[in-house]
Amino acid sequence: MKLRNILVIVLAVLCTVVLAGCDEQKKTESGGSAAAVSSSTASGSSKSAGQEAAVTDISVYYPDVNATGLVAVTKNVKVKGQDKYKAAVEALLAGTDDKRLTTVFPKKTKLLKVAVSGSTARVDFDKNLTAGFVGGSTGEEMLVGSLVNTLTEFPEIKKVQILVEGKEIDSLSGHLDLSKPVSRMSELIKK
Amino acid sequence: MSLVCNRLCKVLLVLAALVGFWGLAEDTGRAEAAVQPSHELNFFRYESFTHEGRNWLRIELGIKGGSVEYTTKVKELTPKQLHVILQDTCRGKVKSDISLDRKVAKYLTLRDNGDNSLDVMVSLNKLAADQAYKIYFAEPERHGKKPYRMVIEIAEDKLASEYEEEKPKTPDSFENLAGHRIVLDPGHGGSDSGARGHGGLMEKTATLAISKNVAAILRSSGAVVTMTRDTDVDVYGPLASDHNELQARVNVGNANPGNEIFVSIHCDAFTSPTAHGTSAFYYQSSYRGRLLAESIHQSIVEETGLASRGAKTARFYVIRNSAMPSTLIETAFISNYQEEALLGDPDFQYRIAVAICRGISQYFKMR
Repeated sequence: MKLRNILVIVLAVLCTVVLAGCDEQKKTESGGSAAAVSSSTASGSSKSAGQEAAVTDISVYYPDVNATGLVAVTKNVKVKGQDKYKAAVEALLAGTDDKRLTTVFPKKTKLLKVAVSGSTARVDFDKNLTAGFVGGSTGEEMLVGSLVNTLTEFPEIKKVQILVEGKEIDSLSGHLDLSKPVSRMSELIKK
Repeated sequence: MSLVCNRLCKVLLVLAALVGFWGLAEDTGRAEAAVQPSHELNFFRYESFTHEGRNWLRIELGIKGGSVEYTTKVKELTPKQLHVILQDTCRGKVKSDISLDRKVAKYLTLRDNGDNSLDVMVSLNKLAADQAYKIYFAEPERHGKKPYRMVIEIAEDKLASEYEEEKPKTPDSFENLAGHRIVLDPGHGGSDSGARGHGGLMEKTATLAISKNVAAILRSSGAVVTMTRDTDVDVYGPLASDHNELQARVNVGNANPGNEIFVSIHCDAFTSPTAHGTSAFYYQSSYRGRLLAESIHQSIVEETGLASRGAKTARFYVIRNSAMPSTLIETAFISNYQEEALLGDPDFQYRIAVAICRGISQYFKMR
C-alpha cells in the first residue's frame, strides 16, 4: 500500500521531469518558446541564453470542481521578453494541484499564439480546443471565463478574442457567442 | 538524445498508467462501502382509531436525523400493497416484519434497498386505490417519549368525495396559458449531439423528450406552441456553423411577431462529474426575461428537488438575439452520474416538463 504510493509519486515526478525536458528541448530547437512555467523547468533551459528570464507572479483563474465559480491562484512564472500573456495561458492549460479546483480545457489543447492589438488579446489554440470540448453552458462559461479573467488581470488587456487554428469561432458548443471579443466576466469570480 | 528521451517517456507513461489503474480500482471500492444513509428508524408503533364513523390505522415511524424525502408507489402486479419509499434512510433496529390491526391493513415490511433508500410496504385489506391515506411528519413529543416521526394514516375505505378530489389533479393542463404564443427550442439535434453523459445519454435526446412533453402540456392548456425542432434534426442544416445554427433557432421565434416568449431547453455539462444542479439563464437587460427564468427555475427546484444553481444572467446567443423575453434552461448535469440517470428517465422527463409549464403559467399570471 505504502510502497504503491511511493511508486506512483516517484513515477509521476520522473515523468514530469523527463516530459518537461523533452518539451523544452523541442521548443528550443524550433526556436519558439519564450516562456515556461517555473515548476516544469529542466535541462534545456540553460541553452536558451540571450534574453534574461524574469520571474513574476501572475493570477490564474480555475473553476472549482462543482463549477460554481472561478478562483484565482497565484502562479510563479518565468517570463522572457514580452511573452507574459503566453505564460499565463500556458499556466492555465497546465492546471493546478489544488484538489478543490479543476481545469475545463480539453487535455490535448495546445496554445499556438497570443497576439495583442490595442487592448484586445487574440488567443489562438489548436483544434483540440473545440474537438475535445465536452460542452454545457456551465463548461463553456467556466472555460471562457477562466481565460478572459486570467488575461484581463493584466491591466492593459480589456477584451479577449478566442481563435482556433488562426480563425475566429462562433461558439465553443453552441451557447456563448464568441464571434466578438469577450470582456472580463467578474460575475463568475467566487468571493 | 531526443530519441532516447522519447523512448524513456513512453516506457514511463505506460508504467505510470498501470500503477494509476491499480490505485483507482482500490480507491473506488473503498468509497462505495463508506457511504451511510443519514437517516435511521428509531421508533415504531401503530394504533387503530375511529374518525367520523370510519376505522383508521395510524402508523408512526421515528426518524433519526429529521425530515426525509419520500415517494409513494403502488405496483401494478400487487395493487393491494402501498409502498412508501424513504430516501437516504435505513431500517436501524426496528423489526423488519410487523403484523397490523387486520381491519385496515394486514402487515407491514421494512426493506433496505440497495440504493440507501428504505421501502416501507403496507399490505392493505383492499386495493390501494380504494383506501384513503395521508402521510405527514410530526415533531417530537417529550411526554409521550416520541421522537420526530413520519405518520402514515390509512382509512378502511375511500369516500366518493375523496375519489373526486383526486380527479382534477391531472397535471397536464395549467391556467393562464390559453391563447399565448410560446416558442420552444430543444437544444442541439441532428449532427450536433450536444454534451454526452458518462453512460452515453446524448443531450439532444433528453432535450427533445422534455420539450415534447412541455409542448403537449402547453397545447392541452390552450397555448399556441412553435418548436424550433420536433425531431432529431439540425435546425439550419447538418454540420452548419454554430452561428448559422443558432441564428436559425432565433429566426423560428422572431418570424412571427405574435410570439411572446422563447424557452430554450438544455442539459448542462462540466469536466468534473461532481458538478450538479439546475439553472436558468436570461439576458441581463431583459426584465421580463428575468421574470420568466426565475419563475421556471423556482418551479423546477420545487417540483424536482434538484439543487438550485440560481437564475443568472448570461450572454448566450439565443437569449441575446431573440426579439422577446427568453430564457435558456439548463435542466440538470448530464455529466453527473445521478442526474444523467434522471435525464434519461421518462418519468423525470415528464415531471420536469410539468415544472417548466407551471413556471410558464406563473410568468403569464404575474405579467
